[in-house]
Amino acid sequence: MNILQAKQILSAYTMDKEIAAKDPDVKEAFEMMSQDKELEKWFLQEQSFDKAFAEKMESISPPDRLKENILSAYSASNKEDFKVDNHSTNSTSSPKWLWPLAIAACFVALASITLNIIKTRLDSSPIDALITDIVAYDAYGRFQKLEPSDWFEIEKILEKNNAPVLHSVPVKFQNVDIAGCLSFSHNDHRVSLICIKKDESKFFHLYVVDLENSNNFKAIPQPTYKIFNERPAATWTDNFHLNIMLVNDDEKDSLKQLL
Amino acid sequence: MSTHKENKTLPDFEQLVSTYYKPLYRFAYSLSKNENDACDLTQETFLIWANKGSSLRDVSKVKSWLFTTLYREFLGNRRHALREPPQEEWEGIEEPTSLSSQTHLVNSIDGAEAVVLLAEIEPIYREPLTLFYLKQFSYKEIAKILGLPIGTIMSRLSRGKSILKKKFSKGSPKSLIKMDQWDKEHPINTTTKQ
Repeated sequence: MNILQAKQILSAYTMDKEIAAKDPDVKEAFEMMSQDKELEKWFLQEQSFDKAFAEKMESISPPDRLKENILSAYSASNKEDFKVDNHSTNSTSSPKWLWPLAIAACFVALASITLNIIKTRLDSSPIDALITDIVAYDAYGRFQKLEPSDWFEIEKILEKNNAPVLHSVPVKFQNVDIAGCLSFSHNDHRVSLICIKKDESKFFHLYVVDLENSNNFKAIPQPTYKIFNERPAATWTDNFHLNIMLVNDDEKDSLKQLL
Repeated sequence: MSTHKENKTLPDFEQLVSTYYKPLYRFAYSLSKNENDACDLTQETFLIWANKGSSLRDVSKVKSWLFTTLYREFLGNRRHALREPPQEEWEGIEEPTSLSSQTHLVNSIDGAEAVVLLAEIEPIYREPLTLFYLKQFSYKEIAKILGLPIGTIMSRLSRGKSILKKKFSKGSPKSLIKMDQWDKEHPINTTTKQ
């Protein structure tokens, strides 16, 4: 090992004593250093520079809301996206003769689900169909662009994005934390999503849909509770806005308490 | 809402986020040089973990898995962007004019300025260098994350550090004072061990 090679190895050394002990190259470079004062001096200065620069890197802080946004996005997507397949490891070891049966069963299940969705949509009112769409959006949404805000800021942000805001905020909403909001369009309707923080890891999603130019608007003065694709939802209208509050199945009671 | 299925060997989602979101964000920020993109990359990484992480059996590989995933996401995102041709001209390790004064200069900047300096370096050096300065990994782990041979990582770290020190010598970024000026104001005692 020459001095250049030793410097290269020492330059990549990350102050992990275990690595030094296990890695013969690092060990050799250290032995070389113990006999070369110049190399030792160089290494100490190198370490000093590295330490100072690493400290600067550590001082970089993510935006305050990043952690909350990650948990919020996870929570929002969790219902559909993150189901753990308990049988996934077993399926690879299934006998080959089971595969045709499994595929056939999948087809039957898919056909049944598709027919059920089509039937639901045909049977439902336009408003119910809209809510079903929102529920589907909520199940697959990743919500990476939540803008941090509180109740006071939220109106400004949504108005700036030409998105609907709550005309009157329910009294109990005054005390809840907001994780963020975003806006999008669906079938020519502007839609706002306000993510309400229930606790550290749980969130409610409030959608506000602008139905001002819709022929299908029907007033729902008081919150009504209904299950859409297994998601409990409270819906009510406020002027020409349709408000949809979505929670997970185990949060039904909290939903009623909040409204 | 429901939480990630409990796994006896793997940390739960919230615990994982709490432990790694800061270093992952720092890595993402250094790669993307943009706060919004860094947030998106960090968030996307955890969401991929939520989908696929349960298949990981070895808890000791969680950290590497997260950083590798973030890096792959970053590469995927910039696939359509023009790639800078790698210019790996090995010139040997240049002896800095004054390493100790460079250390003083590092101390005079903040984290954002450190990233500005790193951002001026070509990605092939910046990526291993960032992982190195995050102090999360050995050079062997850095090689695995970036999918490069160990020797390449070592040479890129060496070369990258040399370039970084040169940047300090030139007094960039803007907020840094010139090396000459610093040396005049702060004479170096070369016999002092740090």
